[in-house]
Amino acid sequence: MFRGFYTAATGMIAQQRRTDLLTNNMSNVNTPGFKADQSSMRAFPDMLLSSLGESKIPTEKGLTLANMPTVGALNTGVYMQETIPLFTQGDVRETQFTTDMALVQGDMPLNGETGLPGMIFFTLENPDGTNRLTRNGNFTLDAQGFLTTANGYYVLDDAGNRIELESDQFQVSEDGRIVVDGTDVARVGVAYSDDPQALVNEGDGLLRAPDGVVLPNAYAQEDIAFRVNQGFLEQSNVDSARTMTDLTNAYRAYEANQTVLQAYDRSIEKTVNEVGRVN
Amino acid sequence: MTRNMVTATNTLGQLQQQLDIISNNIANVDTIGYKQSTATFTSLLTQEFQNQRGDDADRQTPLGIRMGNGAKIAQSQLNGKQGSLQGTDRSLDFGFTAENQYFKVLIQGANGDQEQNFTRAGAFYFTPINDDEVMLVDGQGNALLNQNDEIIVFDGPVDNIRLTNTGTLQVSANGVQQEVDLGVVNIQRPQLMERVASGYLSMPNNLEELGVFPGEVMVQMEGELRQQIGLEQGTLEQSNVDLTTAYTDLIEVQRNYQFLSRAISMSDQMAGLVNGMR
Repeated sequence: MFRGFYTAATGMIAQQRRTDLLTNNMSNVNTPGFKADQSSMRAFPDMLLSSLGESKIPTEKGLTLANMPTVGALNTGVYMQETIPLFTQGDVRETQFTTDMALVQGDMPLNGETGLPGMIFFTLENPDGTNRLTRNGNFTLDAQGFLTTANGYYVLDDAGNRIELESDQFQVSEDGRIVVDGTDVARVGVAYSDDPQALVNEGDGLLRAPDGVVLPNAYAQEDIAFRVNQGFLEQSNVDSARTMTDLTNAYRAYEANQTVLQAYDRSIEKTVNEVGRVN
Repeated sequence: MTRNMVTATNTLGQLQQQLDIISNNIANVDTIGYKQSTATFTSLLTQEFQNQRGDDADRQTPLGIRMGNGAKIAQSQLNGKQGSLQGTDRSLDFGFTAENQYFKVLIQGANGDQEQNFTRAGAFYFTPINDDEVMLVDGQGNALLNQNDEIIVFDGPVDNIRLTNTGTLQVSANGVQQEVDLGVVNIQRPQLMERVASGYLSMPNNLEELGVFPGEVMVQMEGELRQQIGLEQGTLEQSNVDLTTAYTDLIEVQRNYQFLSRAISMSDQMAGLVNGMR
């Protein structure tokens, strides 16, 4: 009878999801290399309504035929279909640490299918042997002298090996070469993804390539320009003003859905208490 | 229901810690030899929701939606940058002019055990240990060590204190020249060191578990290496805390704190809306 009752409820749930996502963006406004998530909402699949009716044909005995005239299409709700990271370059900020690196990318070729630019990432070793990607260049040296992330994931060089250093006294040139006392020891591994939206965001700044996909070495790509900046960190690309606006917007949409729900509740109340009343 | 509230609360707790670190830096803006700490954030793990099975709509991202849980402090790093030197004209003040070099100090533990710690605060004193001998100690009264990890004792009373450019302390007492090599180490991996009280650094207790020898973490400045010691007599190394950066960070943290508090109150109002439905 009241189809819209649950439609309004799905609206509330979807807006709740949106506030969750925006709060997470807001939480990461200070996280190096963080890419803001964007949400996309989608209506529940259409359903076709038709009314149950009958038409009387004026014959001698009176003939009644059942028919179902079509009313039209109806969506019965909304849900959050996707969370899409916004892959744009963040600002860079100086930190004075030699173990901090920022990837600064120039123009990236557009993907023929999605029409979106590609993206480059640092490559990390996951304990299970597979690789992970990150834009967070806040590295450190572990006890053994390997270059790792703050959580201990090994940073890989362009040949896929761990990077071992004596101390934090080293230079990284703009083309990613690590130089200790004038000699090249390694080159920071940078991978290129032409479809970064296909990567799975695992949190902790890590991204995972889909199964079976090996991302190419960015240094070998001819049409992309980037540099590695030592002593800098790429800041989060969350825009706090915009996030706050979106949060207010989501809150009001939630409130509107709640009001609709209350209207339905009053309709149901009328049905129950007044429509069926005898005296 | 209160997912965003939890996300915001997680992050608020961590912001509070960053605030503590910044406050400690500001408090030590005048502490000699102090090295500031810098906290950086990382996002927490995300959770994947399969919110619509059999979703056949076109999409850009892999199936499901991935929601984050806020942020946490990833690491607090020791910034080893050189502090500026302040001239004091006091012959027992020594300021380092090379990064990552530290004096060796012998600390007396609470239960009688001794431990070697490291400091860059070079304001030293002579303390008498008997009628005719004096010991070199730092501002906390802990004994300085020479290159062979022994405490430094001179026949007193001493005068004419001089430091050579290889870190050798020369004093004379009653016309007799005495000299000792001040113990200096170069800490190769400062991030591994533990910060203990009074600005000292100490070796982590679990060094063996980590499979590392002390010699890999720091280099003893002896023999030829003593040429690389950068020490200036009559000066003190100031704290390397940059007040401008500290205050900028402080403002940033405070605003983030406000934003997240607002997110919590919005979440609360949403819960209020649910409660007010009937």
